This record gives sequence, C-alpha cells and structure tokens, in this order.
Amino acid sequence: MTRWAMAVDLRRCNGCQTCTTACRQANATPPGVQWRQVLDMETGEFPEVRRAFVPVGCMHCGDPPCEHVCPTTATKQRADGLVTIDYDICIGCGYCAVACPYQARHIVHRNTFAFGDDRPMESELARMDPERISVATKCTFCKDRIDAGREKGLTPGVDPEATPACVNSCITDAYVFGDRDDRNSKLSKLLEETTHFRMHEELGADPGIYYIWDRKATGTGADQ
Amino acid sequence: MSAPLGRTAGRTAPWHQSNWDLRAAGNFVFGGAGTGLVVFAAIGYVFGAAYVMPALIGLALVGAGLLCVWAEIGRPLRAMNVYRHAKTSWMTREAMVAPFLFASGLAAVWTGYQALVWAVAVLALVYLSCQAQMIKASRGIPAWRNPRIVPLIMLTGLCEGASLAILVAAATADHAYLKWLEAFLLALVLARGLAWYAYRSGLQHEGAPTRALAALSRIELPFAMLGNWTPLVLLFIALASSSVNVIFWLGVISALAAFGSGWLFKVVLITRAAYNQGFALPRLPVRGTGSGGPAAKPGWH
Repeated sequence: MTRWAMAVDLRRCNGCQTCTTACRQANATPPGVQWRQVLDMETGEFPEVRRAFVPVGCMHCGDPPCEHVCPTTATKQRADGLVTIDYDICIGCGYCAVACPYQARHIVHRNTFAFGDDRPMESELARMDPERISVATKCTFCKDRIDAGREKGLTPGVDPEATPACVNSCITDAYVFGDRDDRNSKLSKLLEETTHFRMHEELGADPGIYYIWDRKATGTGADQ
Repeated sequence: MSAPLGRTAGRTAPWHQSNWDLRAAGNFVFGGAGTGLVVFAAIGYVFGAAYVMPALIGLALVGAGLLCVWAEIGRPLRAMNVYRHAKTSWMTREAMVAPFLFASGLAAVWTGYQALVWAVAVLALVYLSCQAQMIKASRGIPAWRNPRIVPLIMLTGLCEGASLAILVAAATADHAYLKWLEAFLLALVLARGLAWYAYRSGLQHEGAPTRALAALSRIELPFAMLGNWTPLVLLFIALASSSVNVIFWLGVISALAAFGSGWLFKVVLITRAAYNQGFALPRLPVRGTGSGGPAAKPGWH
C-alpha cells in the first residue's frame, strides 16, 4: 500500500513562508486562506526564550475525523491516504471544520481579492473558482500534481513535477514528501534516522505530517 | 506540559471556531427543547393530559431547529446531500430520523393512537441522542468532544421538554397533571446538575483551552445556580405543598428558569466555549547545538 506523508524538519525551517506563498500560487487560494501556513511559536520567558517555526496544514490523517463526520461523503480518503473534498457534493455545513483538530479547513462565502473587492487582478479573475465558494477547502497535498506525475511514471517526493508545491519551494529543504509505507523512500529513511513526533497524536487521528526535532536518540537531547 | 504564551505566538493558542454560529446553536436549542417536549407530551398522554398541543409545539420546534441549520449551510440548495453518509455521520443520522419523527408525530396527533405516541417519543429520543453525539464527534473542539457532553446535552433537552410541558399545561389550564410533570422536572434538574459538574470536572481533568473553561465558568451562576439548583428547591417546595397556587406558580417559575438556562447553556457551548485545539509541540526542536526545548502548548489549562 501507499501512504503519502510528509516530514518537516523543524531544525531547518526558518519561517520564510515561501511554502505558504508557493501553496497560494499553486492553488489560487483567496486572501486570508492559507492551506499551508507557518506558525511562529515563541515560548518561555527572557532569557530562556525559544522560538520554533512550524508549518501546518491538513495532516491527511489515517483516521480522519473530518471524513467520519461529513454528512455528504464530499470528504473522502483515497487508498493512498490522501483526504479529498468533492466541491460538487459539499454543502458547506462546517461540520468537518469543527471536527478537524488541526484547523486545516476553510470556508469562504464570497470571492475576495488581494487589493479589495472592487480591484481584482487579472490573475485572480482568471483563476477564481466559483465551485470553491461556500464549501470546505483545504490542502490537497497537491494531489493533481501527484496523480499527473504518477501517470507519467514519476515519483512523488523525488521528481519535482509530482511533488507538492510547498515541498518544491522550500529553501532550506525542511520538507520531505514520500510514501510512508515504502521502506526505501526518502521519507521512511529520514524518519528512521531522526527523532520526530506528530502533532496532537494523542487524539488518535494518525496524522500524516511528521515533525523532526532532533537526530536519532544517542543519549543527548533526544532522550531527555 | 504547557508553556506561557508569548506575545508573538499569534494564533498558536486555541481560538474560537467561526464555522458554527447562533444558527447552528439554534438547531441544538430548538431541537433539544422540541424533542424533549415530544417525549413529555407522550408521558403526559399516559396520565390523561392533552397530547395535540404539546406534540405540535415540539415538532414545530424541531422544524425550527432544522430551518436554522438550513440557513447556516453554505450551499442550501444541496441540502439533500446530507443523507449520503449514514455509516458514520451523526448529522446524516439526525437528518434521517427527522422525516420519520415528523410523519409519525403528525400521524399520532391525527389518530391519537397510543402505540404511535410512544413510537414518536422514542424517535424524539433518538433524534436528541443524535444531536448529543454530533457534538461529541467534533474532535477539533475540546469542550465538545468530552464524552460527558452526551448525557449533559440529553438531560438538558429533556429538562427543557419537561419545562415546556409544564408551561403548556399551565397555559392550557391542564392543571391536574402539573404535579407529575414537576416531579419529572425535579428529577431531571437534579440529574442535569450532576451531569454539569461531571462534565466540567472532566474538562478540568482532561485539559481544555483556558478560555473555553472561562466561558463555561461564566455561566455557573445563571445556568447552574439560578437555572438548576434554584428550580430544584422551588420544585421541592411545590411538590411538598398542597396549595394549588403554590404548585402552579412555583412550577411555572421553575420551568421558566430550567428552560431558559438550558438554552443559555447550549448557546454558550456553541458560540462562546467552542475554542479549537490550537497548536502544540511535544518538544521544541534542537537549534544548532544543544538539546531540544520543553513542550509548548499555548492557551491550555
């Protein structure tokens, strides 16, 4: 089986938001809607202050709460683990949005434009999609790129043409995408070599984004 | 586990969900009260009280709740798609029960056939439990996903139903059965009060966003004290009394308090206490040399 998943090396991410921009460009999301965003988490008190940049978005969970609650079957999980939304079926009830523990779903009820509602750019008008109004939207892991790439015999996570836009755009190589069930994939090997966690793992949704925070436990840092 | 929220942390701490507003709350407010009233219309019928008026009011309230949902959804013309996922979605299940509830309810009102009256009451209970499970299945909202929300929502709906039944009986001069209804309401407000504290202690124990806990704390006085324990005392006095006036007025006051507080609770639960999970890290990453930092879970109790 294939299970597309992602690893984010938190040691590398510098919060540049290039992935956010790349996602918005690739998916033409409206202002205020970021399927891929990077959190700036600052914790502690001076002088013990720590800061981490944390990319978040749909985790393409193995046991997605959004899919269970969706009354219309618009939200589905594919055999390869990707969680998808059929905009033609969704009624925009928002139940998936309140069921998602990762705040990954967005519903907008009207078109908005970067420079004001009365000043749409040509590119915005060209890529505006009425199907996405008043329905739930979220990160797709760029499934269209994955599917088109695979049809050409390309490998997602290896060949950029078949890899999510955020992963391609990352300037620090913090993202790694691949098949979690393939022991030889770059993703699986990286997870073998590092110490990582998944966010809100205690909620049991089996999220598909792994956060690397240290090298493999060697007696320093990772095992503290 | 939790670390202090930094000034620049922005939206890492839980913030209030913005997808379900008063219209969604209306479904739980009207649906709970309506189904509760349908149940008590059936119970009253056993004791010889009128069935038609409370049953029709109950069904109308359930219908009003569904209209609220319809007004909330982004694509109302596709509303029938809600029936597509009975396998796991409680929203689908609620929608599937609704037509049977209305059809059998109207048939029971029309015929007065006792078996049908009870069938309607059972369907109303099923509908109410669908609503409670619907809230619990919202795993992104800590104040909703706690399992103790289920009995609390169900008892709140039944309290509202009993309260409305008392008000209907009082308004229609159907006074002979007030004492029975008041006895039911007394038992229900007692159970609801216990369920409320069990729910809140469950949230404290399992952890919840600080602001969600604060929102619930703010209704301790109007919901628990004035809406629950005060009616309990008043109902106790009413049931101990042989004065028709005392039974009538204390019953009405208790019903108004228990009913209003139930609505308040559900509105607050959906529109004030529904903070999402936020974001958290079980470990902060290693930066350069050294070790990783402690966990960060801003905005949590």
